[in-house]
Amino acid sequence: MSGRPHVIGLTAAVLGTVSVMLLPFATFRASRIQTGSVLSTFEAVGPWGLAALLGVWLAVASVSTGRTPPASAAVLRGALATVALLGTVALSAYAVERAAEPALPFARVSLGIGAWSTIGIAYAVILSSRRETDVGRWARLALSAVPPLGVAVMLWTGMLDGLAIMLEYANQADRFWVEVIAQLTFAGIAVGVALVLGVTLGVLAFRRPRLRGPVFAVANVFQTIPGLAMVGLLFAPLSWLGSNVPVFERMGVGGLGWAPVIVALTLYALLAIVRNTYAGLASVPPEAVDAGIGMGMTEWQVLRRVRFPLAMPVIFGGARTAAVQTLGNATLGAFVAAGTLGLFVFGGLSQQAPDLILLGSVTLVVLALGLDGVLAAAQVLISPRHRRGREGATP
Amino acid sequence: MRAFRHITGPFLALGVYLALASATPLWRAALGALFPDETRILYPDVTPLGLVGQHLELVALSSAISIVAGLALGIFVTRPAGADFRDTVTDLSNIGQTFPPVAVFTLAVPLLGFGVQPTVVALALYGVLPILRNTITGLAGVPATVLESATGMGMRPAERLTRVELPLAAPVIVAGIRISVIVNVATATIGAIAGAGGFGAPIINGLVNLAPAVTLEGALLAAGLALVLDALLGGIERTFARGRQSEDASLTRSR
Repeated sequence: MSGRPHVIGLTAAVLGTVSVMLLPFATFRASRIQTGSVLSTFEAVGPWGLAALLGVWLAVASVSTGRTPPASAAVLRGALATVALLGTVALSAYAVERAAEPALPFARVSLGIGAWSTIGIAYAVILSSRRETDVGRWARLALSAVPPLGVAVMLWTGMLDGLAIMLEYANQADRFWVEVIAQLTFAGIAVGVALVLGVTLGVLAFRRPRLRGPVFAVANVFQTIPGLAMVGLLFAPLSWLGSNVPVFERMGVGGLGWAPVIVALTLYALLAIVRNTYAGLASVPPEAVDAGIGMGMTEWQVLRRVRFPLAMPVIFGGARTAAVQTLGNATLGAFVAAGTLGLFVFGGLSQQAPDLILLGSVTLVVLALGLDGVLAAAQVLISPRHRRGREGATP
Repeated sequence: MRAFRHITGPFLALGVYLALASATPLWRAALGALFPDETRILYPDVTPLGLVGQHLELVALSSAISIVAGLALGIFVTRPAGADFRDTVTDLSNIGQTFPPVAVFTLAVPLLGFGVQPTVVALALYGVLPILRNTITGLAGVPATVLESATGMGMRPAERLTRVELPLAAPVIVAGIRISVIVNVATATIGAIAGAGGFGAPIINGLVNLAPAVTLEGALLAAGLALVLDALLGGIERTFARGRQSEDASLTRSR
């Protein structure tokens, strides 16, 4: 029996082969800020490394022709893509070893566009395998967990310590965690404040139809103004407040520092929370509201005990969007002497130090994806279907 | 004329914005009055209108690429030939949108280099995602009955796409373009650090040198452009949405 060829698998195999053959696998630089020379896959990881990568893509292609039964093909393809992904990361460590020259102790090897695109293509294949209906629950879990865990293990064991980005990390180790914590703290405080304000405004917009237009218009303006511009607009007024109002002066308010970051991030985060609070409250079925009124609840009780619980997943979704956006935007702190990972990212840009940029940006992406993943899991836990399922299970 | 009533206001606002931006003496006078103790009033290297030009160039180029690429890819994966790619493309664009726009921009620079061109590519890359997602959502939202009647009327697939599907999906697609452009305007302010100019240059220059007037100049210009473009694209979105509603209404009436 032969089925339909798997288009994603075949396309990925072709693109993967092209990346391995034609795009530079790594960049070699004699020192941190020197412009580098690019290394092809063959130059970077030698004939065996090249053969291994090509072999994996060939295997992906061969399980995608439609001759393998779909269920095992999907699992196999996901497993092979995981090998390609983790293999590329592991080979980068090997490339560092191969490129080492005693005469150039400060030389740096970083991943090139070919390695990054191999990782990206492999991840796309993993995503498509995970979606396939024939893949069992455990296989799906493994496909989600093994790639990040694998990279984590390689980082933990120090296998990747020779890579340029890790050398940069070693240089910045003291500052690195301080700035990660600053990033998370700013985002956390701003989202917390925005939640209180945003839910209040959302309820207001829901209860007072005449305020709906103005509330949304103002929240939209706050989100439309670029974050850097918002920080710029706050510069003069906050400086004035900080030097003329004693309370603010004692709190350390000023045009630079924590104040503009928190204010700008809070204002930016409002829209997602206001919008979802309103949408959540408005989407509660009228029967539920009627039932509440029939039980003799006051309007306020209906809001608190019927509408809010039912709207919770939608409101939470808004908070999730806001939190992920805010976490990224907190990099603005670097422009107003408040630290954050922006220091690495923007510092790297102005020093033209690619490894520093990479260290900051990769950390930023990992934090955003991690936060989104955690909040997505939490959203599933609080969603009514899940709760109902659990209540049904208890006798 | 009624068809354009949602965009006349935003177009007027754009005109006012550009007129104000070109009045350099006005900026000097206004900011000078606000900050009487400051010696540095305006960004020294470029006039306000010049900054608008630099910023618009970045945004226009990158958004044009984003729109073409996002539409093309979105249309492709909703055709039978590209249907196999749809789920994976959707997954990838969802993950991509979780990336902070700043990180997409800064990740591209070490790979692509410094200056205007890499900035445009980096902005375009992130800008594709909202357009792609909304194109897929919009085209997938066209009711199957409408598609069947279009085919029943003898439309070929290409005709059906341009005369039925795209017009019906237009409001959703324009909403995606709006998100994309606004994110682009914001991220392009960071482009100044990579040597691409734009509003980020005076904002950062003023923050670093503690010259509040210079920062305010850039911040006002940036906020103004973002708000004007948001209003303009919002107006276009409503124009399409209105057209769609009246079509829906006529469909129900004829039924």
